[in-house]
Amino acid sequence: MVRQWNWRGTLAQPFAVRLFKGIWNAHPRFATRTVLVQNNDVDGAFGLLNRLMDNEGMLKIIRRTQFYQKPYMQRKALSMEASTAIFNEDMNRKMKFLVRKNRSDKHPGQVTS
Amino acid sequence: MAALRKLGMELGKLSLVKNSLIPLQPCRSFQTSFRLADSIRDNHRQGTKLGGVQLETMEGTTGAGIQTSVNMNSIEARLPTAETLKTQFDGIPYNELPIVYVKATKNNTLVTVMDNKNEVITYTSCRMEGFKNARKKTTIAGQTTGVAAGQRLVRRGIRTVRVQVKGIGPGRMTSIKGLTVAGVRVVSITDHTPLAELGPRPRKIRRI
Repeated sequence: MVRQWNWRGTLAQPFAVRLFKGIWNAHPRFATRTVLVQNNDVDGAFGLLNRLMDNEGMLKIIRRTQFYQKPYMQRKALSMEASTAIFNEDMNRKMKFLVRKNRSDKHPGQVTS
Repeated sequence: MAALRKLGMELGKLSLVKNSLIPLQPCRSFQTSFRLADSIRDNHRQGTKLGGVQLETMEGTTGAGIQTSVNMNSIEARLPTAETLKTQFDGIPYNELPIVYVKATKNNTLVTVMDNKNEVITYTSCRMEGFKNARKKTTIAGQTTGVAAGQRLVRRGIRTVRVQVKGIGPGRMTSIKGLTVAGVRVVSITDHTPLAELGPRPRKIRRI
């Protein structure tokens, strides 16, 4: 893998798809990052758009590129991200094990639904 | 003791786990104790504080994160397809609708409306609506700008538009809301914020 020089020092891109300059402007404009508004409900449409952008990590890119992060910050952010991912994976597995169920009634003994 | 405390902390964090595969709603909530005051050394080792960067609020991003609930029903119907470009909205095909360009920066909100031939129909900004200096960077200024743009559009007989938003700022959501308040039908919202992932090196962190 050819490591392209970037302003984030020697860190490689943390994405599966390699980014390039102007990627945000490379695709047809009203085909991507677009949400149709139903019944003029702008807030709902914006909520969906923001949620999708957040899930795709775009808001993170915007937040991270507002200010230059010094290399020590980049390194620490990267290691924090990695350790959080490991913790989350482990904890998800643990919780799945703890809350596993094999009964017809989800909440036995509960009077109200 | 320290290990116990750590476990409690991690359980506390659990509810904030993003994209967790476990549906947290049907589970019974369990109680965790408050985090005890740690020594300075423990706190120091907790994690890195990215000074200034994470403190910056991102206005106009309601719906991001798990704190707010978003209606994700019929999501496929709310995303555009190839047929959408030819679909008629109030008698006008989608790709011939006028476009409202909103540039929502940290300090200002600019609204430009263009038709499909790229001719400017109207332009307005927070400053043109009478907001000066720091008042430009308020959500109210953004809403007023949107309402003003919408009223001008209605005066010209344009009642159906599509919107393209650029940037994250106080006017991002409120200006579009203002358009609808003025009686303009917004067909779609597009985000066109530049991603400077590989771009020029950004400015240095502010020291306040």
